[in-house]
Amino acid sequence: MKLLERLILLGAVTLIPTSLLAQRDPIEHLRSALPADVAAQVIPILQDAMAHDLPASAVANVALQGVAMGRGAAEVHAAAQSMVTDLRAAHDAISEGGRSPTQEETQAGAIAMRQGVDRSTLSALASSAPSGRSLTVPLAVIGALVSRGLPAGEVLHAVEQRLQGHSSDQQLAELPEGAGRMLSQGMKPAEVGTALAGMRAGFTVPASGGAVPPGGPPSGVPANGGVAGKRPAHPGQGSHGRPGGG
Amino acid sequence: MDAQVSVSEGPLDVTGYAGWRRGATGSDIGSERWAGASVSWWLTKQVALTFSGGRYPSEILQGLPSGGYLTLGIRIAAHRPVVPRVRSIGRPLYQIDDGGGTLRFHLPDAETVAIVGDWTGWQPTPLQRAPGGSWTLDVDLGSGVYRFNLVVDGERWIVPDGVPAVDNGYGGQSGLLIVP
Repeated sequence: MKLLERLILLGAVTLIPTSLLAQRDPIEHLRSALPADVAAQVIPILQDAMAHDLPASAVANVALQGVAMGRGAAEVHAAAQSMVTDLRAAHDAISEGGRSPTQEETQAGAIAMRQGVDRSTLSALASSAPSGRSLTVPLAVIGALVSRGLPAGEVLHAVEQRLQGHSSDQQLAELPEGAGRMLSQGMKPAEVGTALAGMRAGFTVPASGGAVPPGGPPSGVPANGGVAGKRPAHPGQGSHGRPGGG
Repeated sequence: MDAQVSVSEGPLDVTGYAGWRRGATGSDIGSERWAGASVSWWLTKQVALTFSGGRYPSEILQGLPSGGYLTLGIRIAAHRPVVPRVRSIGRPLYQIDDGGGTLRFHLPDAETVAIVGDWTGWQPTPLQRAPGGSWTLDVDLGSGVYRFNLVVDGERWIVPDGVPAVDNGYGGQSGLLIVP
């Protein structure tokens, strides 16, 4: 009988979702890392997130960030609650697209929404992306491009094209930097969006801003199309960092 | 070839830039010069009068013509930006090689650089000075999206230019590191 009980217990432990096991750490970590008054406010929010299969680590990180910035319990509570709201919205939007999002996808979606991406864009990506392809990097790239002012529709189209063309996450992750170069060369966000959407999947944006096919330009043609030098930063846009509000 | 200089003195922030390029074959096609300047006069800690003007070159690949501009505007900010020593990043933030991952920032004028982020529990982790004005940190990050800020010379948290940013929930911004 004892053997049977042990087998049942072993089976039950095995069936616990790995995500749930992974999420036990944030609570213990927060309990030791946060001041008691902050922990008392934040841990119930964390437990609520876990109960809805939302990434607890994203909430925990917001709380840790707030404490590191010297913010009080009320402000940390509000920021953590706001993160849960965004995570839930992202989770629902991706689910509406027919996917069951991973925790990483939910977090990337929430960040993208904070950067100005709407729910319909998340749903559209979820429904159009090849089955089995992680949406984490594509969502992060969409958010990064939209945050630079590129139109969401063209950004979505550009990313969808590349997903259909089997572009790697590495290739996708290079898009924001390429867009940044085009913007710094004086192109307007709408023009950059059109350019990205117009390029075939696999095309990359070189340092000079033009499109180059996979494998580089034709023999004898420099990657910048033969144009020496580059344009200066767009008027009004410095080349410096910007404050993070800390 | 182009250059940019920024100076902050009293209530004035002045930025000037100039550039020159020559056609690849030595012809006049594509050869141009450009320059411009921007002056911000901070009336209060949050409000500045900004005047800028100059000339920008054509974009041959895109078929866009050159032109001039002149603008006068009012700038409203939460606080006057400190002219920072953080330069733009000319290479990928996070490089993965055989030995693992390395974060790299180009900060030639910095005395100390630390990073706070999702993977550090938002506790400052110092970067190591590297040749050429770079600062690096060896760290293995799995595929995903990470929020971070730099702390340069102990100053307030900064998002380097060229890095996507997101509202941090506390009235500021954090940078995003996308690791494929």
